[in-house]
Amino acid sequence: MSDPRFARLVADARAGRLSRRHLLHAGLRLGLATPAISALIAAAPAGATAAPVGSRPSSFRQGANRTCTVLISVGTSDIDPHYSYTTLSSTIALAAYEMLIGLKGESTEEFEPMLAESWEASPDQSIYTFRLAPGVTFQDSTPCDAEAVKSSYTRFLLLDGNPVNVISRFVDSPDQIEAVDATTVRFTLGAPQPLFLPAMASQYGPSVVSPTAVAENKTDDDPYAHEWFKSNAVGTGPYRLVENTLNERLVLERFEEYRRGWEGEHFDQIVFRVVPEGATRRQLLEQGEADVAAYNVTVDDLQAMRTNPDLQVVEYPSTNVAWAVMNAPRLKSKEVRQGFSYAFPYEEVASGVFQGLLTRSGPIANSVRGHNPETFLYQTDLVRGKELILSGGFAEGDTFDYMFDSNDEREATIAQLFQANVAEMGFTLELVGVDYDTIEGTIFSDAPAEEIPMFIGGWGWWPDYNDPWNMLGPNFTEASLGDGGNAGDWVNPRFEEIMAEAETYTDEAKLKELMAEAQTILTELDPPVIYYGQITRYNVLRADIRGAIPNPLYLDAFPFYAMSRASSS
Amino acid sequence: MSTDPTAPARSPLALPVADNGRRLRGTDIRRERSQLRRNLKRFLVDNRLNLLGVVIVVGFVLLSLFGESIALHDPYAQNITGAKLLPPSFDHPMGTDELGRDVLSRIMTGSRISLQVAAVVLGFAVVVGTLVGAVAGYVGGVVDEVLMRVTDLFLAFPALILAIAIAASLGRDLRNTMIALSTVFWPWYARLVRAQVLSIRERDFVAAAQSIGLSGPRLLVRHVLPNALSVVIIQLTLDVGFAILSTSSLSFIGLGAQPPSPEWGTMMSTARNYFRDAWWYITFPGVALTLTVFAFNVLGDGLQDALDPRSGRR
Repeated sequence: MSDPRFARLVADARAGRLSRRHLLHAGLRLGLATPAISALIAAAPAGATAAPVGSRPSSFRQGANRTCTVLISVGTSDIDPHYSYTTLSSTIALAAYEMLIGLKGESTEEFEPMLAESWEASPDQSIYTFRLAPGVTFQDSTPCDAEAVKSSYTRFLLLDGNPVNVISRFVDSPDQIEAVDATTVRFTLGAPQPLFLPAMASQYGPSVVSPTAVAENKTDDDPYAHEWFKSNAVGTGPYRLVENTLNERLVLERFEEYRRGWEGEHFDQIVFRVVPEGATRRQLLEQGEADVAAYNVTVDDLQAMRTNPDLQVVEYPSTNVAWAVMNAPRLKSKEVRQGFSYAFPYEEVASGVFQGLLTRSGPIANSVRGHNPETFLYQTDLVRGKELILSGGFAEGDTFDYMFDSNDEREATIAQLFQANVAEMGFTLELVGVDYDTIEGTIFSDAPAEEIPMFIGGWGWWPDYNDPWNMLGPNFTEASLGDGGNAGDWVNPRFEEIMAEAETYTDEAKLKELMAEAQTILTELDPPVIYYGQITRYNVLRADIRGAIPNPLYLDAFPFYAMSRASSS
Repeated sequence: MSTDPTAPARSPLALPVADNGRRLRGTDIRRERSQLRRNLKRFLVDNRLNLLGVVIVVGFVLLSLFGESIALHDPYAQNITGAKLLPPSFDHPMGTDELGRDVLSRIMTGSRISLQVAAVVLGFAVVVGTLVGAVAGYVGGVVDEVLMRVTDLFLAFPALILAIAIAASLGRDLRNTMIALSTVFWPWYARLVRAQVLSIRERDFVAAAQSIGLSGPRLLVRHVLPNALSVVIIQLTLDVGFAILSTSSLSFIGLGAQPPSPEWGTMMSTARNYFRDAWWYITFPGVALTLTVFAFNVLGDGLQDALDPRSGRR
């Protein structure tokens, strides 16, 4: 600053002549001048700056070009792929670990090699043999051979974590997994299992972890080193975890010895940044401080971001169905649940809240095997709903409680719309706003039904792999009561029979028939939840990000190795 | 928080009680009244800011009482498909929110919640605080020690943090917010009143009253407490703003009023998700809150000048 006034001010201050009045005056001028200058800069036409619109200054590009910053709204305390069922842990698993096979591109049916270069099934689909790529090493430099794969799947099975059904449906005992030679693994399933390959390509569970890391970090109480893997990761994936600060950030750096090499354009570093505030996430994306966000900006923000040339919005059909859980014991009878299914504001939620990114559906999305397009759908009918609730054991003026995630704007809006409908029917819906952790904790808590709210809004599910049994099982079966996902304690004997049959099905036509009946039970006859519909998910990315092809089963995950930043010329 | 122990024995607004044991004569009452008028004039006419404060406060109270009935729209009526996040217009002077509800009508209705909370919280705080403070100051000794240490216990925590802790442990509900804030506010009044009582009980008129046989509760209630009231009133006025702000703060972080309540903090908490595209939604509740708190503070400040002449005119 060469302003003589400033020099005088400094001199005065040194000489002790600076009065409070002077200081206030100078401060006031500074205060007034700063916004004025900022406004002038902001008002200058974009062309006036040296850099072309939508790009960063070249100095910044060199430093940040090969880092991909992913915005997430909340962290997770458990990233063990064999134990955790959270979306974030599976997203990280797809970067740090590999499965034997993966889903190819946008397909839910086709596979591509990961650790296995090739694979084959016996004619009756009861024995599967995988040939591993030779010379693959884990991120701790130990070899990933057939023994390591066997050891990893044994851990997955015996650790008995949340996604264990992905493997336990097919494999009862580790003895069925055999390391034939250094690069051959064989699974002897004992019965025809056409779904084994889809399950092995799931985002949830079948990651191969380093047996050395397990051995080094296990304790007597924790023979599979679950505690250590909660916050660490050692796999064969393209990126290795180098920093994990809960609810702040996770940093992954490229694993130099990754078997597919680092030729061509790839990111060097993937940073997951936890930003709880939706408006802040949008701002960071718009300013280019972050590169991608998976399904965590609001639909309203999305409309504005679509028109921003610096950003790309990628919508994709998902296998995700959203619903509100109903507490079956506390709601007394199926009539009451049917009644509330009639009370839900479907039209307002689909067009007003989701703005078209929600399609009405029953429990199985149309992208999933076994979907029945004829499934009964409730339409809002408050008169009918009220009759059913009254006939089901409640009286006018009764109060019901509805738990929802108050940090999620969409859920808060849905809760209030539903509340208004319930009020119109002559009942009271008491809204209980909590944070997402509480919602998840309540769903998976083994507390008795009396301690669980009558409704839990904003829940939903997508299958681990393309299969209706896997979609419905974790949510509606007797086996999922208690600390499983059947939070409404809903049990239907006929549905149990159907599911038992569907677990071991081999005939596609029979499955369709069974699932059509299951969907009728789950909607029209005895609804356990209120289905909002199936969701069109969306990712928001900076315009220069390439290769982020979404898969309807790998929700909120990105194929980081295939992604890069386009060099703008 | 001013706990000036040298506040005057008689405040101009205090009721004209016989502080020296003799009956009041008509001239005394007239003198009191004219003094009151002088003070009021000085308070309102000489200081325009005070007048503004009074106008806003009166407006706020009227809005609280009649806001819901004179609102243009039903503050709870939703229209998400037809009127979601509309900008200000003739029909909706402050726009609409994410459910298509009229923001102006909601702000008008919301003022009642703010006033209600402030009234309940400060009512409790003044009653309990005064009781504790008066007993502690008047009785002294062990009672004073015990009561004041309990008070210190509550004062040891930062007020808002304590309120957050209490509200969070009780559950998200407006009633629990009131309990939390009441717990936070009363110790200040206990301290304030105790200081006043300690100073007043040494005055001559108290000694005189004692000499004619008055003692105990009667002396405290009839002669000591009325003289401590002016300080409490000043504090009360300043605290109304703070109580309203605290309620909104708790609601903003999700601990206070729950949707669909039109409480201002709750409204802003929801609105921040939309502020990039709907400036009106977060702005107007914020302006309403700012104006109200500002007005109560100006009023409190002005009252302090008027009731406590020795603090000097600013």
